[in-house]
Amino acid sequence: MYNILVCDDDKDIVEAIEIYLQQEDYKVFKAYDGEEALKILESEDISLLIIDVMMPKLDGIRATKKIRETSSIPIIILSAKTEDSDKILGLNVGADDYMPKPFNPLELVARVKSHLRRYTKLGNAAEDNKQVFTVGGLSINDELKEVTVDGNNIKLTPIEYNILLLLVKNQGKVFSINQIYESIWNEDAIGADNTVAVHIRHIREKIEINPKEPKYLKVVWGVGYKIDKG
Amino acid sequence: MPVKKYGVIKKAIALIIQMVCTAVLAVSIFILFSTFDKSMFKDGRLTEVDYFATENFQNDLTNELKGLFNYIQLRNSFETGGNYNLDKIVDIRDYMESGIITGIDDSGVSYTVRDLIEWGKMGIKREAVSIRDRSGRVTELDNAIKEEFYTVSGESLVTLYRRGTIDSLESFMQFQEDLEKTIKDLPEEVLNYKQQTTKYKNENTNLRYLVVCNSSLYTNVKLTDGKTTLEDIGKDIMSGSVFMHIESKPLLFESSHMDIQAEMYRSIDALKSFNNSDYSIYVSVDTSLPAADSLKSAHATYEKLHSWFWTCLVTGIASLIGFIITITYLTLITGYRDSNKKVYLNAFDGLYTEVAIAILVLAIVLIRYEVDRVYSASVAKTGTFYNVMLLGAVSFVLDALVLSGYLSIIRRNRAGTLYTNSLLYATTTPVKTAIGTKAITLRTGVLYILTMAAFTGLAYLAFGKQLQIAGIVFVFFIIIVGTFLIRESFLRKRVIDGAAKIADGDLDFKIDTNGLKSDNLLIAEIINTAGEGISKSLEDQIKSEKLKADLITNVSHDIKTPLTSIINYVDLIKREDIKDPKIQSYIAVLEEKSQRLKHLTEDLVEASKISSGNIEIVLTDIDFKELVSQTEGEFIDKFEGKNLELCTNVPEGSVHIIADGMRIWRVIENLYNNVAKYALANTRVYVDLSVSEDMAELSIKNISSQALNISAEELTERFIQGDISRSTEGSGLGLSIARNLTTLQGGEFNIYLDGDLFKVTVAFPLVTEEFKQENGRITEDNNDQTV
Repeated sequence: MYNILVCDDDKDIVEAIEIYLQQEDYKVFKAYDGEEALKILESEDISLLIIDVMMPKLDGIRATKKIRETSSIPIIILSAKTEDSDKILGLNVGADDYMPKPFNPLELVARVKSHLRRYTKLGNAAEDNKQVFTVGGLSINDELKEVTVDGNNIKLTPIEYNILLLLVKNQGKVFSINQIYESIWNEDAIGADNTVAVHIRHIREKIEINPKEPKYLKVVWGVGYKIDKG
Repeated sequence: MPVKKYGVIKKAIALIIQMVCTAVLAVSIFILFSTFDKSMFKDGRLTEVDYFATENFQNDLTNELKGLFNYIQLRNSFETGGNYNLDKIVDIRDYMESGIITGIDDSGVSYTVRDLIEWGKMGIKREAVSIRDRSGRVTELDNAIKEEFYTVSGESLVTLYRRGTIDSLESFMQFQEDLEKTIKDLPEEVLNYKQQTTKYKNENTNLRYLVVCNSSLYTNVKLTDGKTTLEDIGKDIMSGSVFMHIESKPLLFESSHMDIQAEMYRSIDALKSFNNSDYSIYVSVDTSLPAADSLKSAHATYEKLHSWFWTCLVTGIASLIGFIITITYLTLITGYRDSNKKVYLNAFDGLYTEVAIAILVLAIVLIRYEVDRVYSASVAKTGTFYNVMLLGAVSFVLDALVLSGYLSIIRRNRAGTLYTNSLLYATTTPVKTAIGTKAITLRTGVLYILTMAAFTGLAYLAFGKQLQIAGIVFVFFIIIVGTFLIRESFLRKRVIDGAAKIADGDLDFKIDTNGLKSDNLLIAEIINTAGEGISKSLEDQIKSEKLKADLITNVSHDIKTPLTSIINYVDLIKREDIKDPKIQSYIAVLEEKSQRLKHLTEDLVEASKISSGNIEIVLTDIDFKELVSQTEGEFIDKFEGKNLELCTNVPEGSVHIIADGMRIWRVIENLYNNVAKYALANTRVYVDLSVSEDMAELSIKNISSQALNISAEELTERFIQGDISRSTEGSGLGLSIARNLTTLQGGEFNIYLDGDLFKVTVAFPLVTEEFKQENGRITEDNNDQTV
């Protein structure tokens, strides 16, 4: 049972989120402006904060800044402002995630789970095994041929597994379709083939919360694919 | 810097000093000129000279001697044996011809001096007479002289004519004429003779003379007993320091002033009495000047004025300096009240320049005229002192007038009204304005007429054989026209260059209108204004686009919050265990529409941003082929779901283009989405990547599921979809976003419609060597390009 604080000046949104989170057995605290949220954070043992940006009294950005002075709990910002500059600002002041409105409630729940798992379990999950590769919440145990995201087991086909392993092993490096093809199939890539691209999409659909905005397996359009260093 | 005041008192003092200086300068110059004598200039420096050594004296002496010779001639005419003879016979013809009275009746028409003087007193009367010549022919004269006196022979002219002594009518008329003139002139000469006799009497003149002429002896020297011969008397006369001795036989001229020789001979030769006979002349001047004659008064004037010479030299120089200083000072400060250099004009400066000048000139002329009148009326009875004073006063007044005119011109010039406040300007400005602003044809016409007039003038000069003048004028004309044309074309080039610059998009560029005239100036100003106008309207347009984008962004923010609740609660309802299929279908509609609303708001914000150019583009090296493969990987399932067969055709090897990875993905994604949404199910979709010289082009062809009854252009307009499909899932902004994004990246976007065939092509520039060197291949760590 984790305590989650939801802060938004729109009561209906707060209540809807409460319903979803309660279904997942989280205890929800509600606040309707930044100041209220700060008060609850002081008095209660909160594990995660979901906060709106545009609010009266104290807005989400300034509240996040203040919270970060004393606390390291995961903070997910919700906002109708969807421009890159808004996202960058939110993440820079210390938020862990940024969800544009309107959001898919199930995605929000998934992200909440992911952040909580990382916040509470990471650290002791670090294994010394050289056959284990991790990037953020993504972990590949090459010995067991096992892939987990935030502790959840993911089922991948052998080719999908090999592609993911190649990218995870070479974190930060961009692989073009041909390079991936050649190293997985061990034969020359002839002509255009969307096989690799299709596999990549499938991998994303399996490991990402929102495949359209991948957290792990990223597309460098017109160049290739990569997994950022975790 | 403290402000320096130029008060009225300061100016008035300067003015008065200036006028006094002018008067003093004029007087000084006058005195200097009238007393300066060449003889004073010896060995290069000024020295004091005795009056009798001056040139002035030489001139005075010459005049005096001329008078004397004249007197001698008069004596010769009117005296017989040294005494005034009233009975002396005057031959009127001789008298008229030579001016002397010989005492001999040559022509037969002679009268006595007495008769003529008497006749002169009576005056000439006229009457009508009929005269008859020797042959008896009668002539009627209605205006003949009434003959009061007869000739010495006791006859009248009429009688002489009848007798034949006067042999023709012409001769008769000539005698009448001569008679009339003699009657008028002779009494005058007698009067003159009498005056001169007094003048050259011993006690009245400082001249001592002895003249032998026409065997008569004329002298004012007492002939003493001891010296009986002429030579002795002559030597006695010449013992003085100023003397002259002239002999005609043998030719001799000796004098204390040899410079007067030529003038003496000239005046002697002009006199008939001397001309026709031998003569001896002895003259001397008693330098003690006992008699009050003109030499004495000249001497006195010279002495009087000469004592002023050195004073005047000093005052002249001093007043000249004063003059220059005050005029400079006045020139510098006129029109100013302090050192702030603001120009103040007075009432006089308000007059037209020409009018002011005319008033001054008129005043000056009037004064001069008045001075002449006063001067000529008073010259006889007044002396040098009066003249000097008059000169000073006149100079004073004239200076005041000239100075006020001069200073007014300076002030006008300073205030810039010298020309603008002139009649010339006032009269030519309307004409100029008319020329400048009326139709160009009028101006051209005027120019044409002027040119023609100039050529006509030239032709006139040339035909008048004034070829040199014509040549000079022609060369002058050519130079002026040439200069004008060259200048004009230089200026026009400036205007053209400026216009070209503005046309090239440099809307802030301004043509320098300095030195431009008439047409060029007008064109330059119009172009500048047009540039400003375009620039401004462009700015306004950008501003309004930005405003629109901001408005759309803000509105969509406000839409998104309630939309979030709708989506969330629709989802929550869906999770309730609802059995009723009718309600389930309602919920499905709600869910679909709320999702569509979500896409719409997102696309709307994106489209408005792109079309207002409000996004950042980062151009890098992109492999178009890789991109196509990646995109197909994303869409293959969707296509398969609609049973669309994808036929992709790409060249071998990679295709490197210049684009922004994120943006080009949005373009291609939109195009594939378009296909997925609107392609007719169970058809083929053709994707072709081709490379031309400098572009790589991707074309996507599919069969539309709906009839495309609009134009290709309309398809990319915002909110336009293929008509019927408007009610389906898209926002209608996809193609618009794709097109604008492509253009922003420097690519080309085209749509072709042929029946149900929908074809879209996007082309991007290939990577150049230049671009490679500048940017290099995208690095592996470049996170900006990731999704």
